[in-house]
Amino acid sequence: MTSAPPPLEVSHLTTAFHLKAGTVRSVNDVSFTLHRGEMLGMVGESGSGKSVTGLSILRLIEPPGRIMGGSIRVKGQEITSLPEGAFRRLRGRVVSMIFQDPMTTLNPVLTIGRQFYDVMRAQERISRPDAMERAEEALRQVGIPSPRARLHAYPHQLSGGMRQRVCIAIALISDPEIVIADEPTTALDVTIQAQILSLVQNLARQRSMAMIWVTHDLSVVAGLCDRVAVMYAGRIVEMGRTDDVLNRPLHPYTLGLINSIPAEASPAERLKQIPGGPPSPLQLPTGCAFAPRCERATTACTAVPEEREIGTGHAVRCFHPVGASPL
Amino acid sequence: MTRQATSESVRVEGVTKRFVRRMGLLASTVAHLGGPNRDEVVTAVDNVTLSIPRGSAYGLVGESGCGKSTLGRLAAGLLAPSSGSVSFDGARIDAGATTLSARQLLRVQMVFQNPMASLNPRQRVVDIVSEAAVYHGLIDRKDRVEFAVGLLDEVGLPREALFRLPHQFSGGQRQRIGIARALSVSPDFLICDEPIAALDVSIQAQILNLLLDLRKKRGLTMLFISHDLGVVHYLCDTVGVMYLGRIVETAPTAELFRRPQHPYTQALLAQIPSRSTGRRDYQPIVGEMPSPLAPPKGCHFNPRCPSVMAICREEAPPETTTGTHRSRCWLSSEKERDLQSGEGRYQ
Repeated sequence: MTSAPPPLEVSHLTTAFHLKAGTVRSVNDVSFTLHRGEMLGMVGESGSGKSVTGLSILRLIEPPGRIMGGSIRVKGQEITSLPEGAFRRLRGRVVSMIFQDPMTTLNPVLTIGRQFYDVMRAQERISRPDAMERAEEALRQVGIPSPRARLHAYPHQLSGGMRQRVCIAIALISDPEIVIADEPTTALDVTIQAQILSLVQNLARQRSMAMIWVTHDLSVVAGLCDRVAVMYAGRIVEMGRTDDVLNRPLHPYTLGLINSIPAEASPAERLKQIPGGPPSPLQLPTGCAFAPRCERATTACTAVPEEREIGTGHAVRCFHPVGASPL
Repeated sequence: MTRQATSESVRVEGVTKRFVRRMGLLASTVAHLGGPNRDEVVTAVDNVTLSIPRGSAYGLVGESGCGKSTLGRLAAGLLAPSSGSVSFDGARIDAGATTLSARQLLRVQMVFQNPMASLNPRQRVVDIVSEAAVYHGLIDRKDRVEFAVGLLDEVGLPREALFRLPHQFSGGQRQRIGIARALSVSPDFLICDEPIAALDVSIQAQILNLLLDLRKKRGLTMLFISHDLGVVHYLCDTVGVMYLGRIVETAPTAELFRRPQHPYTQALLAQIPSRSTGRRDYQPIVGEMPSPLAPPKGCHFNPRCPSVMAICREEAPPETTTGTHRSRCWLSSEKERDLQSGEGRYQ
């Protein structure tokens, strides 16, 4: 099989922020491959590095942040070393992003139509009427009623759900092959969240887009993603098929997250909580960063565990994985 | 309606809250001259009645803008209702009552959603958690450090926290401080408005466990406001589902989750993503919550309802009761009528 390179290959990516108080490695030696048409969930709590991973792939890291090492290959092409001008031709057309908060993503003083036009002009030569026609069609595809009239509306005139639909339409306007969605439904209500999930699911299938869905919500991942990567303190601690990771978790942190979901617990019984809080990114414990909160931790955990595969395509960074005999 | 047993402690009776934005000068001058009256009125809470038995937890669920937080503030006495009343053990506690005793008010306390915004950033923890108790003469000023240590211990914070400022804590720890402050005057009725919505998953579980422990230990009666059905399922004995100012369905938690009657509740339950369902296609209900400035006529849910009938667009459905389960939907009232007349083939 002469296979085309996968849409996205990230290997040993490290992104750090140089602050007065010290250096924070928000993304630390992260590697994964995104396959064509695949939906990859990236789960973690605030500060785990999941958003910074997404931003690094779009080269949207600004000083004091910097990609320190590793490689990001988009369709086989290394992008970390590309000049900004060359990468700009890929951004939006090949790799695109949907952000969490549509109110801060959209410019409040420009009409929706104008914002489409600006994005299209950045990518190609297009006349205003042509741009408006395509924008109208894009709005129709994301289920916005009377799209023509909406082109003249300002963001504040739309509801939260409608604004997120607009953001999705703008992100997808140039038919990108890879889309990174950074918690796009977190700010939305349950019924609206279901609408957006359904919309994205359908669009991704129709266009066989590969997507990374960044979220803190394991149950969204369960319904949406083919594979999932769990992040903790800048590292991917577990990765595998969604079904494997959620039903047969290997990393104690993944298990702890699952046990923390109240909807799955018997009512009025104490939840099996993870003790403590995430470590300060400025003072990460040496070795496994989860060790101080982990009930399985031993002296071995003062070293950084290597990633190892247990079961097909199911990898974990842990010396004492759940349900496996200790090393 | 017969009054419930003596165990009932919190009673919200026909409470309505309207917010009015008056016309501007020009518009009101026009109105004086015979023009239209264009005051904008939002009925945030529309004739809500509910009761919470002593020591039990009532979960109020709904999406943003449905009025659940306003109802919480009305129950806490932070807002005066436009009509109706809230009482606790028979004594009025709403801000509209004319005779309120401080003693009575102290029995009701509230935990807020955003612990950063609800704690004074320039106050030290010891003052935050002891100020109210000192002011109301529950403890002596000289005992406040010891008092604060006891409270902090109860919510799982170390003694070292005493002389720190709120910004020196993580979100979960701040919420613990907020809970300690609410407990400082030994309330019997605790209102929690989305207390874990702003927290990370692993920290949410810790705060839920804390609330569960405190409830048992102190025998608290609770009103728990949340958009998350999973949390409510876990923590509450009774659930009320709110939509655009009205409670559309109430039932004991297990009953509501097993047999939701209102189409809105059914839709909400179908859309809780769950780890166990695996990959699936989402089939969302269409549309969005209408503007509370112009709620639809009849049942507020009718523009989005998959089983809408002609009558739903005309008249608001009355409340129907089946056992412990109450709902406001024409489907349930039709069923009931058919059953009574023996025509129904419903189960």
